[in-house]
Amino acid sequence: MENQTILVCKNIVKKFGPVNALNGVDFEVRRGEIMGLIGENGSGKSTLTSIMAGMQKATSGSMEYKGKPWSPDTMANAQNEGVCMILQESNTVRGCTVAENIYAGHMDKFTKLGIINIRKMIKSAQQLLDSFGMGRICASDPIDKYSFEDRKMVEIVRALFSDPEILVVDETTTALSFDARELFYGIIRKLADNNKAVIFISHDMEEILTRCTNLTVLRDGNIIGHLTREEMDLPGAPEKIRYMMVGREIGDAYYRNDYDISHGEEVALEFDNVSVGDIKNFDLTIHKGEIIGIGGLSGCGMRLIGRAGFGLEKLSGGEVRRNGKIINSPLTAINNGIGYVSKDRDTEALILSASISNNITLPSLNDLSKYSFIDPRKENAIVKKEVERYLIKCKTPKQKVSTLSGGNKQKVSFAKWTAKDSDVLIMDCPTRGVDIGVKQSMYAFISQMKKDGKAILLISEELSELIGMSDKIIILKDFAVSGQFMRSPDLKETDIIGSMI
Amino acid sequence: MENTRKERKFNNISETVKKYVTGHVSDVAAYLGLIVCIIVFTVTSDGRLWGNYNLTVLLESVCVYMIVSLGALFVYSMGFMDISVGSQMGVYCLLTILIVNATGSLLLAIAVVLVLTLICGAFNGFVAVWLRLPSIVTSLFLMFIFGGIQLLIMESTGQNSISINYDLSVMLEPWFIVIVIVLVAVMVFYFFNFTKLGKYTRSIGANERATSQCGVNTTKWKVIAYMAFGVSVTIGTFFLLARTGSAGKSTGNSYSMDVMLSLILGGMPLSGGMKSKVRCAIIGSFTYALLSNGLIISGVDINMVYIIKAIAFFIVVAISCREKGVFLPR
Amino acid sequence: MKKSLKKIVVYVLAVAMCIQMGATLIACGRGGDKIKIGVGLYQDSGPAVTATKNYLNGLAEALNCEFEFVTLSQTSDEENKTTAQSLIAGGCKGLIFTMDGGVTPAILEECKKAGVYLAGYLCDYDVNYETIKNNEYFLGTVVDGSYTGYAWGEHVAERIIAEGHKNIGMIKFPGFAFPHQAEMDQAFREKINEYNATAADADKITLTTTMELMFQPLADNYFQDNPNIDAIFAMCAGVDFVYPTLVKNGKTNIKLYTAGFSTDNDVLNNFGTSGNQCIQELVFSNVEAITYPLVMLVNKITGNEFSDNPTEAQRVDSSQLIITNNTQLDLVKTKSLYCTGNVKDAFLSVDDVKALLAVNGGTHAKLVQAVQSMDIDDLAALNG
Repeated sequence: MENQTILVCKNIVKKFGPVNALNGVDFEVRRGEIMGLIGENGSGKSTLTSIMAGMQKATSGSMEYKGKPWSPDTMANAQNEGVCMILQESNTVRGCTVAENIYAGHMDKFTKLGIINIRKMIKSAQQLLDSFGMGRICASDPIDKYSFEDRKMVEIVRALFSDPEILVVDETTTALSFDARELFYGIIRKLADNNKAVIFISHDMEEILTRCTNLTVLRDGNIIGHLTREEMDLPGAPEKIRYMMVGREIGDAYYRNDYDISHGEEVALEFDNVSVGDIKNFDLTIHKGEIIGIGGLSGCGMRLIGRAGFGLEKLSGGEVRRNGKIINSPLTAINNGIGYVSKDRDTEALILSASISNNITLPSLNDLSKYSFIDPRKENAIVKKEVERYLIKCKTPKQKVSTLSGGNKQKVSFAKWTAKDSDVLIMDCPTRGVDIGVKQSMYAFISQMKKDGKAILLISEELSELIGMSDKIIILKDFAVSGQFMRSPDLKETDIIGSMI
Repeated sequence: MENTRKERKFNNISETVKKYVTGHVSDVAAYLGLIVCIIVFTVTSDGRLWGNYNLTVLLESVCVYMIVSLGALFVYSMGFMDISVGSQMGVYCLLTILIVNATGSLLLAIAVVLVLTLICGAFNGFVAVWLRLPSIVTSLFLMFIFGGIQLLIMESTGQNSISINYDLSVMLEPWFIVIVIVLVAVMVFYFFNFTKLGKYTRSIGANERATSQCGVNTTKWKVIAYMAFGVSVTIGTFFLLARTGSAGKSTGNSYSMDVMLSLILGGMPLSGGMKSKVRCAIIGSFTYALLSNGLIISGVDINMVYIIKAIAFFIVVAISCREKGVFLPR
Repeated sequence: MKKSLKKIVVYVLAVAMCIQMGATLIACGRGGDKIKIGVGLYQDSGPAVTATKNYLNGLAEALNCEFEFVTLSQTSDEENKTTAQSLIAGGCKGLIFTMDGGVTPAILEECKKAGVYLAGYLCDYDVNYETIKNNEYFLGTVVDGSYTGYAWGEHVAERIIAEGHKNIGMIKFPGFAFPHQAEMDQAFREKINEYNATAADADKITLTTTMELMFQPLADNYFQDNPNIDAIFAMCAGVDFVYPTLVKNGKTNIKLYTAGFSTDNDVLNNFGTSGNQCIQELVFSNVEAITYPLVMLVNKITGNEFSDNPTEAQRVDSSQLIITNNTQLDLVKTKSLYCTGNVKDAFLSVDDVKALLAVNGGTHAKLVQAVQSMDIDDLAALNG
């Protein structure tokens, strides 16, 4: 029984218009495996798994599941047959209780003569939650009461109660806290031990290397190679995998390689005794040419600081100033040369249905407008410059942003502010969901910005990123500063974690 | 050899056409709707569609739709709507008649109407933001108020309808209509595509949060967009008045819907955003006017008129407003 | 598989609809050298529309006419102008409209441009009559009943006195929309006052102040405000605006005297002595009254003129069918053109109408006489 093949994909091709997302991929999943799937954004990981899980259809190719042809019409359909997928985005139904969310689509289990036995459903949901060690989530509560992370856990429970044969996990762990991750790793281990199969998509190399039983690397819609557990344990495996993903040497120049923490004298942005939300009396001064990193666990309040710095939050005390001017709205922030790269890229930072060109020029229209007239030639010139600067992969700048991959989208949201020539940049998780190749170039841009005398506030959940990029790291815990670290080659993650937890 | 090359060439062309069509479904549907209307009615009316008289009739009936829906573009591109225009236009017509008949000054009437439309635009835009109400609610409120005022005015005159003592017939000269339509269209085209106004309204429709994070004072631009609409309502009002020379208790009321229908027929999504185009207003109002005109000059049975209108509408909307599920891998 | 099937179904349906549409359009578009007349009604369906269509289509061949029916907008003058223009563009030589409005002079302006004539049907053209009566292109109109409301007001007053009702609720539409209901009201009150002057105190009739309905159904609280009424004189369309409120509030013991008619069984079965006996009087105008505008138009278009043609456009009263008892109702139900839609039941047969044309020796006086000899007694006489 061991290692019996459960799902086979043969020559899967998927086209999005002119773009080939998958070029004839052959793929196999066997029982007892935790199959890691890794690749840059746009390499086809999500496309491949979503085809297996019934979210969309392949353009051509065939699949076999448990020895029979497999072509699910919907995700629900696939789930009933035992193929279940947990998505990156939140996928719970708002306004319903936790129990209703868990049993959505399976209410008939508790229905007699058309009446749902709600008490029975809640009880059963609670038992399910308890059995996965999530007893602190109450099944009768409305789902909206819980954080993104808890909602994600509810989704996992929902996926598991149907007892899936194959569980697909698409970058779910990025949303989870340390504890929840451990819990989750336990769950997938148990699934594999019970002779089920797990497909695990992640950008986190370490996670993949420690948790998976084997690994498949995708690039540009092709499978580049497979690694067994033994190969993954070899020294130099991470470099090898990165090479397979990107197709070229990443080299050492990943983060900043200098340890020069000097910066200009001029103050670029000042938080003076700022109280916002649960954060009280926060002080911070950012100088020209300085990169300040802010870190902590998700929910520690670090995002609030970034939002306050851009005038998006109403302050309950103190003020944010730049050059003596008070910043109290995005408009004043932008007029004073501040830019903000939001973590919610698709809903806040970008207009997905608009073209690359429209997105890039939007903050700059005020400067472009002359007697009300905005010269399209000037617009095009700016856009061309930015597209070339960031090497944004697109056919034409008139292309919709929604057609771009995550990394290229992120480049566009950077380009907005370089086009505007902002002197202060607040970046909230700028490399979230961005693959290694783009990440590397992002870091290079950030380093270049420092050299050009820009002030940067880098908010990140990734400690290695903060250590690698910042001149000074500020760690928040429960909405208060719990530690400060200066840039140094000796600074290790372990030094910092202590002040986070 | 020759054949295969030809074939390949044909394949290439059909490929490009196919690509264009799939990329511009809504535009194609809107154009197609208009073209099909023209062809069908040309045949069924025995060519009377192209008669000199009918062309002037068409022009006359198109002008108000087009002027008003061109202005409405700014509001609808934000994903907002204004269902008060109809009753507003009714009241403006009555006011104009009362003012002109009392003072003899058309300019005064124009000034009063312009000021009122601007105030109403500001109200619509500002109150919606201020009270965080959907735009349909504030405009509903205005619709009821203006509807009430219209009835009150009519009751105070004690007549079913009042007429204007001023010769507006020059406004119905074809050359005059054409000039005004072209002027308005050019202005709207300019403001919609080459100034902040149009760029911002479309951005607001596509993603208001992202737009405000780009330093756009969305409240201010909503108000400006509604006021721009107000200007076109003013122009439209005077053409409406020129057409009837009179106004009554329900004059203009159908315009709220007519404008919306014209825009939809032109391929405009009601959610606004980047798909909003100036041509939506232009094509849409032609199609809309043509539908009414064409059915009558073809002598279609009274019972069939609604059905045919509904079918035509359904076909155009089903094709043009259907958002294809854009699902892309991250 | 399923999706492609759905697609195919949608496309097939779309194509089928297009073909059907095209076919009907083409079928409609054929016509010869007949006199084309556009008929604008303010309703798009209902017995009146059916009867009007049947009647005109029945006359079409004999008069060498063809008719195109359109629905006029009750709200948009501007739309009505577009409709008129489109009819003219579609080749109509004459227009019969049931609606006047501020836009009528503008429509006549269009008529002048195209040499087309306009005449009215069941419409008093009150808004514009003074300005258009000398317009060469306006050929007069036939009124819905009598131009003034006096006669019917008096008639209802007489009935109410005879039936012995003592507290009467008065309801009408607003004056700006229906000015002649004020005359009805006045005539009714005068007649009642006349009676009260001689009646014993116990027999005196009290009337409420006249309430104006803003084209909304009567409000439920009407009965709290007027608790004692035993009859309602609804000058407005009471069948639609008052009767449902009576039924809803269980007040069908109040007798309803109203203008208007309905072929709805709920109304007909509760008339007079049948059903809940609430409705006591119904009035409507004859479809055949359209003969007046029709004959006027055909005369003008064919270049003939009555020897006694009026010098200015006339508004001619027409007789109405006033139904006061169940016998009359049965007669109307089975024998009037309005109810049966059958051209054979018409007061004026094809030959009658033909004889009224100027070319066949008809006169204006005869024509007026014809549209005024169509009351309930005439109907009874006609059917022996």
